[in-house]
This record gives sequence, C-alpha cells and structure tokens, in this order.
Amino acid sequence: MDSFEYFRTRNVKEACALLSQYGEEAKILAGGQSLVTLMKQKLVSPTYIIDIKGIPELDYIRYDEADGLRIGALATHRSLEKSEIVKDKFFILAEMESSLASVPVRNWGTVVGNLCHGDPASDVAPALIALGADATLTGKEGSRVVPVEDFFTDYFETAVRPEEIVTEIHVPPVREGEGCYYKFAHRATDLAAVGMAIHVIMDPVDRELCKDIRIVMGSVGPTPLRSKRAEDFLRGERLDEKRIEEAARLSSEDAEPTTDINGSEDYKREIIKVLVRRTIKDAAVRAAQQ
Amino acid sequence: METLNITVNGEAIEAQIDPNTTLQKFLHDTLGLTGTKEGCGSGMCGCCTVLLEGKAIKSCLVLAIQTQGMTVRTIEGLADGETLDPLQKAFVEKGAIQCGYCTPGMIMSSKGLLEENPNPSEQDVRSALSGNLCRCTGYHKIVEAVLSVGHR
Amino acid sequence: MVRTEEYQYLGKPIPNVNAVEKATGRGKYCTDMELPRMLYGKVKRSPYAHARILSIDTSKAESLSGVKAVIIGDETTCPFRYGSGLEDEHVLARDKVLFIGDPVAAVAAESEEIAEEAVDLIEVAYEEFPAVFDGDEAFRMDPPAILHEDLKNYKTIASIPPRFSENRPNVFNYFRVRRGDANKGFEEADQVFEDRYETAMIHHVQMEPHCAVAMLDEKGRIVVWGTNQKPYGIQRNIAEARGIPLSSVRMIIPAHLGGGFGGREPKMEQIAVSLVLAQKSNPRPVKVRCTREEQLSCTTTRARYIVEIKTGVKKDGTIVANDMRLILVGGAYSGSGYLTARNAAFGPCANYKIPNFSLDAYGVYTNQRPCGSFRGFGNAEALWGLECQMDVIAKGLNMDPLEFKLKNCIEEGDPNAFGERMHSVGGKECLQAVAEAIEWGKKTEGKKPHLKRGKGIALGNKYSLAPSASAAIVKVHEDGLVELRTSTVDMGQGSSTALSQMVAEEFKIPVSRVRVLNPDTDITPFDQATVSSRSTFNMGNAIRKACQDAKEQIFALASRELGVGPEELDTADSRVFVKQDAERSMHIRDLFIPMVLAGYTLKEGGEILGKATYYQPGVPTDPDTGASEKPASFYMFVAQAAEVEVDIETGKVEVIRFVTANDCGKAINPLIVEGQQEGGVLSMGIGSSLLEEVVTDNGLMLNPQLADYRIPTTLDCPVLSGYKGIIMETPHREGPWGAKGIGEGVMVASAPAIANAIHDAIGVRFHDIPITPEKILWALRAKA
Repeated sequence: MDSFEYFRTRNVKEACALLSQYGEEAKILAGGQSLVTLMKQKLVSPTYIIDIKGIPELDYIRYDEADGLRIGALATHRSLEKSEIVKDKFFILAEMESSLASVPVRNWGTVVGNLCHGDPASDVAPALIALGADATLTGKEGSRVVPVEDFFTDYFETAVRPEEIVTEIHVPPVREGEGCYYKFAHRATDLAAVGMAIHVIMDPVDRELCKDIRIVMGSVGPTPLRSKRAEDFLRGERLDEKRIEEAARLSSEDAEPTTDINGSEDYKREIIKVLVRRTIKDAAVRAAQQ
Repeated sequence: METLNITVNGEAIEAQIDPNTTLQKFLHDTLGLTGTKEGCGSGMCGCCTVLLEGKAIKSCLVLAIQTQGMTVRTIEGLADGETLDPLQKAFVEKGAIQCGYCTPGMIMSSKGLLEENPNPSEQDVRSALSGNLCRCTGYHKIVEAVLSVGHR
Repeated sequence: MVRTEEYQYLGKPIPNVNAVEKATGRGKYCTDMELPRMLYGKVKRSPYAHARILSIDTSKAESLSGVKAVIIGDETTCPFRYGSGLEDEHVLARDKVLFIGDPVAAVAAESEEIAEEAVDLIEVAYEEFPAVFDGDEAFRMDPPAILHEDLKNYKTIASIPPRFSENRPNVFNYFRVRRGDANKGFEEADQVFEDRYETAMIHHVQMEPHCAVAMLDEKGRIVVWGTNQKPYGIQRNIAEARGIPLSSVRMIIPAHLGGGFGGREPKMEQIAVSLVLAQKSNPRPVKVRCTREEQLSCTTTRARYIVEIKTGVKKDGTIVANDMRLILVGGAYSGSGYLTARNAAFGPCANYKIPNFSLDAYGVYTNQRPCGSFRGFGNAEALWGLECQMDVIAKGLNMDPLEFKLKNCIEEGDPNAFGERMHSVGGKECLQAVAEAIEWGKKTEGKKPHLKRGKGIALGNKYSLAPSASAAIVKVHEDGLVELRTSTVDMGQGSSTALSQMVAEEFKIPVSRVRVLNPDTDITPFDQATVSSRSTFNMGNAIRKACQDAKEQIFALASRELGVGPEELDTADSRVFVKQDAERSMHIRDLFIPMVLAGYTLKEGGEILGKATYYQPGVPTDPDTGASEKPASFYMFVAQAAEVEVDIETGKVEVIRFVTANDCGKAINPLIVEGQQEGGVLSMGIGSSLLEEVVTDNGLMLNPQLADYRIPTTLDCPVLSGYKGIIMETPHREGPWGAKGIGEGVMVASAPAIANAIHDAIGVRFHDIPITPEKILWALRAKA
C-alpha cells in the first residue's frame, strides 16, 4: 500500500472540514474492509486518510417505534446481526448480515462502509432498499437525505460527493409484512452471485393477497435493481404459483447480469427466477405468520 | 510517522509506525510475534486473525494506527506461561493441527467464538470459522476440538 | 485384516510431536525467517505467454536507492538448465519467455516496497510469438507453437529418463503399457464403451506461500532455506544450474513447512541464491517470497488432464480389454511433472484385473505455468476417467457398480498391467467397508421436491515410486535420548511424529525422548524426497535398520559390562538388560565415562550412531510394453463413496455424506491417518470435484485470489456425522511393521465418487471436473 497522511478525527465536524479541504485526494476510513483491500491492490491510493473509527457519537443502533431504526456510520455488521431489536423488528437485516463474508470481517467492517463502497454485489443495499431505507449524507454545509434506492449510481459509484460523509442510515418502522434475504453464492463466504431481498405485505384478511411488495436484486447489474415490473404485477393480486412464476420471469428479464467468474449471464438469469420464487414464498410465509 | 500506543498480550507497547502499516505487519514484522501470519493479504484466508478488544478480526485488513489505545491478543498471548489454553490443548490432542500455518488464526477465531458463545453448536462453530481456510485438515478435527472445549 | 500385536508406541493415536509449537505460534516457518542485514527479493515476470526477450534495461532499477542486486537471465545467472529429470528450465528465462509470469529478472532491496518499485523500473522489450494453450493443439504433430526446440538435446536423468516423441515436438514424456492384445480383447467383448474425460487445472493452495532465504556463510558457501519437500533434490538443482559441486550448497528445511502437496518446485530457492551471488562484496542474505497472487498464478499446479478410455466387457461384467490415452497438459517447463506424465499410468494399471491392456501416456508442453506434480501424481486424474467409465459400464450392463467393482478389482497375487504380481491389496475390503458405511443400495429422499439425492462409489489406488532410497541416522545420547536425523520433510502430514514413534518402539522409550532434527544437507543424510507417500515405508525401513545398527553398538559395549553375549541383550527405557534375567541391567549412561574438564565419552566407537540406507530397487519398465516385475514399491488402495444432494433448480451440489476407506498397511498413528483422510477428501476431494478451477484466458489466470479460487470452507464440507474414515491395515511384507503409506491415496477416488453420486441423483453424466452448478443446470435442461 502506498503511503498517505493520516488524520484521526474526534467528531463529524472535524472529519467534514478535512474532507472539504482535501476533496478527491482524501478517503474516509471506518472499518476499511473494502478500502484497505483496494489500497493494498493499489487500485486506490489516497493522499489523505481521514479515520472516523474513533468517533463514538457515530457508533449506535437506535430504535424508536414511531421513527424506526437508525444505524450510525460506525455500527458494525456484527452489531446489526446480533441486535435483539433488529432480529425482532427488521429480521431481513439480521438475516442478511449473518450471510455476509465471515465473522471477523463483520466484527470490524461497518454497514455504512459497505454501502459507500458501491459494490453492486453488496448484500446490505438490497436489504435496505427492500425496507425503503434512506441515508444521511453530511458535509461542511449541512446534511441531506438520499434514499438508499438512489444511493448507487454505477459500478462502485455512489451519490456521495467528495466532501460528504454518510453519517447514518434510517430504516422506517416496519408496520406490516415481512422480509427475506436470499443469497446465491458458490461458497457461503463469497460475494453474492445473485442477491435477492424481498419485503412483502400480505392482506390481513385474505392471507394470499399481496398488498404490497418490494423486490430488490443484487449483483445483477451495475447497481442493486428494483424489479418494478414484477412488483406491479404482484401488487394487489393473489400470490399463486403462476403469478409468482411470471414475476420471476419479469425480474430475470429486467436484470442486467454479466458473465464472470460466478457464472454466465444466462445462468444468472435462471438463478434470479429461482431466487425470486423462493424468496417471495419464504417472505410470504413469514408475513402470513404475523 | 505516527505514534501508536497499544496493549499486546497484556503488555503496553509504544511504537513509531508508518500509517500504511497493517496490524498484521506490525505484529509479525515489528514486534516479531510471528504467530500472526500473512497467508493472502486480502482478508480471505484468516491466517492473520487476532482478537482486537476481544473480537476476532483479520489483522491484514486493519491499519495498525486504527487500534490506538486498544488491546490486542495474539496466539502468543493465549497460553498462561507453559500452561496451554484449553483450546490450544484441544487442538493438539485432537490432531487438529497438521501443517499449522492456519492454526494461530483458527485458534484465535475459535477463542473469539467461545468468549461470545461458550457452548456453541457444530453449526455455530462452522459459521464462526468460515473465514479461516485450511487445506490440510478438512476442518473435521478442528470442529471437534472447538466443540470439545465448548461442551465442558 | 488387522494385526493384533501389542505395540507400545506404534499404532497409537498420539498428538503430533510438533503440535504445541504450532498451537502457541512459536513455530517458525520459512516465511517468518529474519536474518541480520537481510534483503527482500521480488521477481519481474513476463506479461506474454510466448515471446523472445529482445532487451532488458535494468539501469533505472539499479540506481534506485536501496536496491542491492538486480539479475537477469544471462550466462552469469543461468549457465545451465536444471530440472527434476528433464533439464529444461533456467533460473530466469533466457532468450525466450514461455508463460505469462515466467521470471525474467529479479531484484534484492532493503524492503519489499523498494524491491517492488525497482521491478516496475526494469524495462523489457519482447517480440511476441504465437502461443499454444490447448492440450489437443499442443499435442499435434504440427502444433501452433513449439516451446522447446532443442528438447532432444536437453540433459536427462539416467534413472527413469523421459522419452520424447518422434513427431510430436511438444511431448516431453511418453510412456506405454501393452499387455495381452487389446484389439483382440475388444473383438471378444460383448460391449465396448468409449469416452473422453477431462480435469481442470487446480492449485495446491498450500497455506504458506512459496518462499526461500539464501545467504553465503563466512566461508562463502551457499546456504538456502526453502519451502520445499526435497532438500537433496533442490541442492542438486541449485548446484547443477550453476555448474558447481553439490557440496558447495547447503539446503535446510525449516522445522515447520506450511503444506506441500507435491507443489513445491525450487524457483524461489534458485532466485534467492542468484540474488545473493550477484552481490559483489559482503553479500547480504536475501528472502524471496511469493505473494498469494503470485503463488496461485505462477507456481506449479495439477495439470489439466485428458483421459481417453475404451473398455470392452462381457455381458456378465468381466472386463476383457482396456485401451487408454492419457495426456498431461503441462506448462512451459516440466518440473516434476515430467514423471507425473508417466506415473499417471499406474492407477489404471493396478485397479482391475484386465487381461488385455493398452495405455499411452503423454506429457505435453503448453505456454502456461508449470503443471504436473500434485498429490496423487496424475493418478487422481487418470482414475477420474477410469472410475467414471466403470460406473457407465456397470449401469450400462444393468449391474450394481459395487458388484461390478468387486467382480473385477485386482487382488493379492493377481498380475497388474505391468505383469507385476500384486502384493498387499486392500481394494475389496475397502469397497465393502464403504458400501456398508454409506448404506449402499438404500436410497434416501431429499427434504424438498427440488432436492435430489444419489450415491456413488469409486475404487482407486496409488503406487509409491521405485527405485527409492532413504537414509537415516540415529544417535543415542548418554542420557538415553535418541536423536533422529533424516531428510524427511514434515509439512503437516505428521512424518516427524510417525518416525519418532518408530524410534520409540525400537528403543522402547517414550516418544518425548526422541528428538527429530529438521532436514539439513550438512547434517541429515540423503532422502530421495518427501513425495509419493514414500516416507513411512522407505524412511521407516531405514530407521529400523539404523536403530538396529545403534543397538548392535550398544549391545557390543554392554556385553562386556554385563558379562553376556550381545545377542542376549535387549534395551528399554534407556537401559540395557539381559533378556533372560532383566534384573541384570545397566543404564546407557554407564556405557560412557566422564572426562576431566569435559563431558561424557565412549572409550571406543566415537558415538552410538546407527546409520542405514533403505534402498528399494525397482525393475525398469520395458520401453515397448511397460512390463516390469517391480515398477513400484507398494500400492495403497482406497474406496470412497459419496452421497450428494443436488438442487435441480440451481444446480448446487451438497455432499451430505462421504465415506473413505484407505488401505495403508499398518497405521503407525491412526490419528494422523485420519487427519490425512479428512483433509484429502474434505478439502481437495470436494474442492477438485465441485469448486476449484484455474480459470485462464489465453494463458492469463483470471482468478488468482482466494476470493475467486475457491477451496472449501468449513461450510462446504459435510457435518461431522456425515463423514466417516475407515482405516484398513492390509500389511505389506516389506513395510516397517507392515506399514505402507497414506498421503496421496486419500483423494484419488474422490471426484469419481462424487460424480457417480450426481449421476445417481439426476441421471446426468459429467465428463469433466469441476462439476459446477451451472454445468449441472444446463445439463438438466438439455436432458428435459
């Protein structure tokens, strides 16, 4: 890894000031599980590293019944995975976290850091999008909120401006329905070849009627993709085999997978169909059990 | 150069380091604690696993300077003098060590697991160790060794 | 067949004698070595698969501050070629580069960072040539590229020399077997089956990357430490490459080596030595270490193999004829792979009773990194083809594959295809044991409609090479400690422990009273190499003889003290006693006398130093027929059975049960044998069948990281209750206490066992490994 000038910051204000000063030549360091890997491969060689790992005010997971879940920038994957409130109220997030890489990576890497890396194979993004989460981006001038759905702009590119830090993720309270995260990978510790996050709300009276649904596909495009045509097709309809099959087909059509070490584009399209089917069924079963 | 103050295996250390030094390089090269090995440098093999503030982490992906003021425990800090930690003893007695290159990382990951979950199931053990690769053992006796300590 | 003699130390599952050092992190590996003033070496590698080197400009690298030596592949660095049996390789590429990654220059500098920077400053101009990567293409009489134009003039080893082809310029070895009349056999057969099978290139992925440290001692002699399995072989390579005497090179293997698996060729050692020699004055030690990426992309692998097999059978399942062609798709240099190309033949030659047998085995060069030597030495690949086809045949005849194998498998006393009478054959017993353990014949159901289950079985064997030689020295110290000096390399397979147990058994002392020295050509005597699963047998026999020699010296000295003939004496617990009257005894210490100003001495003989060579002669194979009464030292047999569950919607395979039975002769240490079985099956067996593949594009490896080159993790193996290892102890009359070996037999049948299970589950036959989910899904679609 190339050398750099190192700043250890004590609060968000300090970090933003430094970012503002050094702009594109600086990088924020939290867990570094993605950044340090890139730096060691010399794919990225920042002149300045702004370390925010030591800012205690950013390390939190807070829940409020009205407001929902707030995940601070330094919350580790492991803390999200193990949080009782997350397991209870936002199970899809705990489920997703337990499938991510391995324990030591989850112990030090952060949820926000994963988002900021902008990897289309991210497990975190689809699950958050399925819950309609948003991210708070803070700069010297102030903060703005960006839905996670709009956070990824291209391969490894995000909406974060050079002078901004993502300080928090907010997940609205889940009043109804249930989610499921399904990851297809060659080994459990590998990046997703295809990721699938689905949140479904079933009608309280007719348990087979889908009131609303969000289908988010990971690793099959330059960014996580909402499978909107499939969602529209299922919303307000009964979830029978045929409809789910068609929704799966639509999702597969709308995805943009590429051929790589994980498989060919055609294979991934097949897997998308399988995952849509299985994830909808599991989510629907969980939702019906509520 | 930055000044790093860190506690390693109970000993307070102060050192001048380049900020681009990983924790693994600091432990292995600077402090000469060669148990923490580089097997890949990309966070995949787990040979560099140590306990940072009691939690298993991959030290090849952590900058040493980030561990300012923290406590680190490496394989060298596990035994109490000549008395082996129960995990070390179990690994030795159960034949869970062949070439031994993955062993320090494997034991530290296991230690991290048992500190959180003193009585893990086989699935818990496999999940906790999924980030530690071994080519010699097929993990069979490793899992047996950790379970034998867990179920005491 | 289990011997029931009572031994004190043999057959005991004692923990590894070096396990504590590994468990405490104290054990030092080559990659941990630090010497005063040590420099770090880095290698400049070719970006082209086949090219002429037009010029190399090292001036910028040389003037970089902190750089102490820069070498290129010239007359100074590389006067001669070296090799394992075919000398086709230089220390650094001279004139031509032959694979992407072929070392062309190297730098030694104050730090790895400076060395890397210097490497980038070296400017090399190339003229690119067409390259050949495909095995069939390389094998042609008119291949698109010829790698070694001067092949026929290369030096070769006298014992088992390679054989070239008249009209195929890239063939670096050719071996043939002819027994009976295969063509006639096919005519007499009721049915003939013909198939082609292939294996992907895979890597050993030893956890310790390749590394070497070299220095000149104060007398200017070369001293090298390295991560390798053959100290004497590497000593020879280093000496021959420079035209210097063997005695001017000291090769030491550190006490701990992070895995070998047959994949340790001496490139790092060679480069480290050259970087030391290139320093004009007061040369500093040099450490050269592969990054994981370099290791995966540039070091030797298991070759891609092409197995063409034709078998003729009678209606009742008797095999009457077999014709095989094996092609080891090698790399740019043959390395130990020159022998792999020949010895892959052994597996098919010794598995079944086949009266009419014909086999042609080749090794071909391609413009890839060296390939060949890998645990199993070509036998896993050859048996992949054989055991898959046997499954096809059995099912084609409507016969139970198990019955088919039991009917045809070779047995004690049968001639194999070399004409050698087989001795110590545990094949049948292994088959029956795994069939019982996996509940062969009983079908289980997947828990969901899209999960299909099936079982498969495979029989294999692994020879151990001949001729073979091992020497051992044991020194008995005055306090009774016995020091064992051998050049067997403990790379995790537990040799130090097993060999210690042998010494302990011979002297009837606790294993803790045996000290094993690490291999050092200055101190430990010759051993051929720690390969071919040969150490238990060969070094074990050498140790027995050496212990006998030491005991004779002890008894000769003690007989005078105790007043009886030496033949009436025995030893245990560091005491010498009269066999018929154990009370009459003395401690070994009392054979020595204290000297003024000094310690203890023997009055004659110098030391109690037992030494012996165990030489296992082989009978050279006939060049036309391969016939030989003794082409190998012994054979280990293995049967494996797998139960898989296939997700027919995604193609993913889970190995839910796996059983292995290995016939290793007397198991010196069952705990170690189990460990070898488990590792062989669960890591390399499953990995090679389902997960692992070196993916290349025109010779460039696309997945040189552990994230993309996938070896099994804890979650990719069956759970504890899903795996069973069975030890069969079919004794060998020439083995120490009847022992044979275990190291490689553990995975030569794994891939076909899994593939046969997949066929049972979903009715699809795969002809190449790895069997990935994608391949399965498309095959199922095609079938539907």
